[in-house]
Amino acid sequence: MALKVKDRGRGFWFYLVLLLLVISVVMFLINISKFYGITGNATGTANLTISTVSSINFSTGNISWGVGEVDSGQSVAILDTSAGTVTDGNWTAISVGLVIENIGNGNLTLKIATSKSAAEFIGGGDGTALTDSDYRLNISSAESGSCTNSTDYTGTGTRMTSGYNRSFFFNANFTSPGTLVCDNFFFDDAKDTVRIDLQLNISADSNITGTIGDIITATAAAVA
Amino acid sequence: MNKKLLFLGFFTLILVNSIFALGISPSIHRADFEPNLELQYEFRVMANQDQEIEIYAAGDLKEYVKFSKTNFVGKNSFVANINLPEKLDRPGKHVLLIGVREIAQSASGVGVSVVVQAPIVIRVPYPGEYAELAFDMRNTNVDEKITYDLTVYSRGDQSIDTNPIIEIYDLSDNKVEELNLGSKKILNQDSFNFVGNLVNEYGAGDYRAVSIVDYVAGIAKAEKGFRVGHLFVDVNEFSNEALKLGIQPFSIEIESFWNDPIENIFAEVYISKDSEAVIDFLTPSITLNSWQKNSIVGYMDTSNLDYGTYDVRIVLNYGEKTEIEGKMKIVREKDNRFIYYIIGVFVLLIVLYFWRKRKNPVVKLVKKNGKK
Repeated sequence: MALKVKDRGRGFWFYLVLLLLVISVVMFLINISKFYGITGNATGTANLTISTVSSINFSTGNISWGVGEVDSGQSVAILDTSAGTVTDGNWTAISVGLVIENIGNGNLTLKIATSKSAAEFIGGGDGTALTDSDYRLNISSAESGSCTNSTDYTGTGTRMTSGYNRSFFFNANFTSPGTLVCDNFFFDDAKDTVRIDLQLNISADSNITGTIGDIITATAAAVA
Repeated sequence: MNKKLLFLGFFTLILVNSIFALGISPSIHRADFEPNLELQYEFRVMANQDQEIEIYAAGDLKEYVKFSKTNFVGKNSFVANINLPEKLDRPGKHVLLIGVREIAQSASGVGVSVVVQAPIVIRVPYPGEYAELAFDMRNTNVDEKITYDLTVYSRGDQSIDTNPIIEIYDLSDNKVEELNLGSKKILNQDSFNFVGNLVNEYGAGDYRAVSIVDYVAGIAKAEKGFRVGHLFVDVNEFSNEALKLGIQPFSIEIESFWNDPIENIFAEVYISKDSEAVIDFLTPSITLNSWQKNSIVGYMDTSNLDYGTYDVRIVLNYGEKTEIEGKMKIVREKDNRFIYYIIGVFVLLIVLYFWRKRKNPVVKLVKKNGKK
């Protein structure tokens, strides 16, 4: 009889341990299945659309020659940012140009316009005589290959090739939207920056004095 | 006083930037013209928070645009509603520009200004049948397929029956293949893309592909050059002169004629005189992208070489080998010693001159004393 009671007690512990074992195995299987996906895979899709953006930035947008005058006895002073010189005048020489970067995600066309003609900006004739004032611009790739152009925008038979070419200038175009200087202004990070240099020939006959200036407008559009 | 100075007075020339960046998105839309078509596009403008922005329309069809707003400050969005007329006389591409510009502030001085424009391209069908093509042939390698990609656009107001062919010409303008892509009817304002591969039985080289689409009412043509590459790296040129001055660079310009990158390209350089080896060295290895030119530079010690001409053998390794032979000279450094001698003699003469000048009074004094 005592033996039977003892057997019953052993049986209780046996079933308890067995139950715990089963629970433990079930929990283990559940966790495993969660990890390895035994119970089935859930799949999902992620959709997104990246919009096209046309955007440009003037990373350098300031040129200031300060105060100056044409040297006594000289007919014209030349202020040239590409050469970084002031000839026959006492303004401060500037060697930086205006730098434009294509910060969008597509190639653009780029047109450049000034707000004023040479006569309106710096006076001194209409540019026909050698001693008249001139207001001229140069466009170059600040990063090689940033801009290509299939048109002769300078009107001189010369056009910008790849690379940084500051060897020629064209007369400022104050008719909006200006001169098409790049028919492909690229957006690749390695080649997405162009530079505008200015050359002012200031006639000693200019009757404009005081603080003067102009607005240079860059118009960019996606290549259509 | 100079009259010109009176006229000129003082100038202060300044260009002050009033704006830095401006953007518009989406950057372009395209649509085919239909009578009384109504289009509605939303644009987002990226601007600085204090920029005063003005919206405007320019270019073709600008008179048919109305905006949900035309002015705002900073980042914002707007809608362009376009109500096209019953009929447009000029067929082809009309480009309407949706422009965004900052209202320039009148301040002391002036500045740079940015304008961005999003084109809306509206195509008006040509009367009758009209086809336009977009054609591409991709560079490849020998034993790999050549992929052609020709899209025929039916831009007329009638459908077209096309029968495109592609002709391949070599550099001497000999036709090496003609491929018929089969006939296809393309509805007006629709397009069809013929894409496939040519069996590449051409040798390596440069070719020209001409696609010709005969659509009864006319013929449209498009042309594209392509290259068939082979695993070959050529040596274009190498240093033909080196100074007898210790460790000297030796540069080799190489060019890939393979349409894939080639890794681990290096050169073995052997320099000899009268068939007797004097120097050999290896260059570092580089990778060339497809059809790329680049230079590899090795270094050699020229201090034990005599002046004169040497034989050079270059073995370029890149899985395959390219071997070339040529000549190079060992030359002396530009000799400035003569100039230094002249300067030295000149300085010596000056020193002697002053030394004698300083000494002469003493001599005179001795002579004077002697006389006494």
